[in-house]
Amino acid sequence: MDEMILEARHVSYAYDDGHTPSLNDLSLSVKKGSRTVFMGANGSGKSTFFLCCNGILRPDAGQISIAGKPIVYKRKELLKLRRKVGIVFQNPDVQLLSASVYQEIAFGPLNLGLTETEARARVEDMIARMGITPFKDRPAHALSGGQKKQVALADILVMAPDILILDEPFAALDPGHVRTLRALTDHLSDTGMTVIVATHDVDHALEWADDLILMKEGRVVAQGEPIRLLSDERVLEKADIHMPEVLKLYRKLIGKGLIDAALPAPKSFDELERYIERKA
Amino acid sequence: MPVIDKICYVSRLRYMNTGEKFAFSFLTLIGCLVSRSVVMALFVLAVMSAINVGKSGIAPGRYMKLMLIPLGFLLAGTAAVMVNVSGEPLDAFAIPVGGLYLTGSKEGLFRGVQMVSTALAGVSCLYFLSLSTPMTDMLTLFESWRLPSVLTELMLLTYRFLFILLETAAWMTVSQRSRLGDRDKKTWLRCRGMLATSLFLLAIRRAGAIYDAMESRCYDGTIHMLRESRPPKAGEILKIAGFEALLLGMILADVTKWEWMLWMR
Repeated sequence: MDEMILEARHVSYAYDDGHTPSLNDLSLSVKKGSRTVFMGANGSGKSTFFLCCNGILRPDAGQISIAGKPIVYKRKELLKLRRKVGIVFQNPDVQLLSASVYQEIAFGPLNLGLTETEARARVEDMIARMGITPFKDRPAHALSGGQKKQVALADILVMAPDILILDEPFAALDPGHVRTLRALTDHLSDTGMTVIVATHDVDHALEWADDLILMKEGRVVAQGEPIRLLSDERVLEKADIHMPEVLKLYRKLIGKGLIDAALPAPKSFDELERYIERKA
Repeated sequence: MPVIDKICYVSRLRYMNTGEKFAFSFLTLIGCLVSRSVVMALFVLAVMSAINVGKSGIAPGRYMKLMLIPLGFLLAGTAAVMVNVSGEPLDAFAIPVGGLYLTGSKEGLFRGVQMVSTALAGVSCLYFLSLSTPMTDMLTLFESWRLPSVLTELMLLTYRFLFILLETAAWMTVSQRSRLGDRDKKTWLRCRGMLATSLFLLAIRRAGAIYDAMESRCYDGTIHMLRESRPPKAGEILKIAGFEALLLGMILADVTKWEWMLWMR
């Protein structure tokens, strides 16, 4: 059986004792080393859940376990937890706290209690690896949106978490930055890191994820293999998302007899193209 | 956006050791203030301006404009010292107005000139530092002086969030104007009020979100800082020491001359 790195059981949370709970009896689990995608409308509770995962928010009811151990809400334990669970916030302006890129990236490692030499080495390595060198001497307020995002990501990666949570990482990024970021998440996942991504991009979810969690109104609507969930019209309707373009096209092509109906549903247009070529 | 903040990032002296820059700027400033001599002030003003334009690389036109900003305040202030309204004319000049005189003494005139020149020289010293040194470098310097971390942390966060607020305010203004928020004076004023209110609320919400983000990165109550190492250079230190020695010499010469004059009496 697969090892679960993150488990939530019947978690409920409401901001300021509000009437509408943000998380409503939510249960899910994330496999170690998996690529898990969270999807759901704005306000469906994704970000709230992420903040519960590193103990920033404490659920009103239910329990969250990281690597089999329930979260203990004590100062020291929480610091240990946050070392393991890194969150890259959606809005980098919320995350970047120093005007100097160097100081910014050094913030986390110094909090881990590393020595100055170690921290310096890590920071400089991260600046080089993340392609931040060209703008490392610019103040945070002079960076572009994409550059800020790069720095925000470096902020977290430099702390070497076991679980990396990216909250809508592709929002408002230009295609170039999206490409770079995708390559990076692929790479991180290949090194064994558990990567959790919240996104609205069904096509990317289908192609990239090995586990998909659909959320609505603070609950999990469905969890499972992306291709299975995203082909299921009833599930799609319940979660209020549309079918990926490639699956729509795949169905039409089968209907017209242009590809072999016995083939499994494709995850990407490249795959679909190969099916067409095979038939022709 | 504040131009003054951008200049330091392109300054050719940006990567000079911060401690050296600080020492040069402040020792010279103190020299100016202690000596109170017009000659010395003009000398410092000339040298500092030459460095700011020639070495640091600030465009002369921009530098002139920046120097004119304090000049306005200065002239308003010194006018009060130089010009009196009195029934009796003083020794420097007197313009009769009705039964009174707009008049000034020689001493008052001299004090005015002294004030303006010293102040301008002082400003040029401060510009040397602030137009070549980003705020974050200053903070690491303060940190190395073991200044209370609550001060340095406040400065760090304030500096960063000032820009976030300014940027947000700029976008909100654009959005208000796109919806004719500056149609007339009344609407404009109301829009300003709304802007202030929403900025305030936003700042509070932001503060919460930022604190969460900091906690997520194991914030434990202190922001630790890593000094970017730009070691001081012996050559630069020698030059600074030489210049300050020259200033000291000028001050001493001035002081002894003054004593000599006392003795002559």
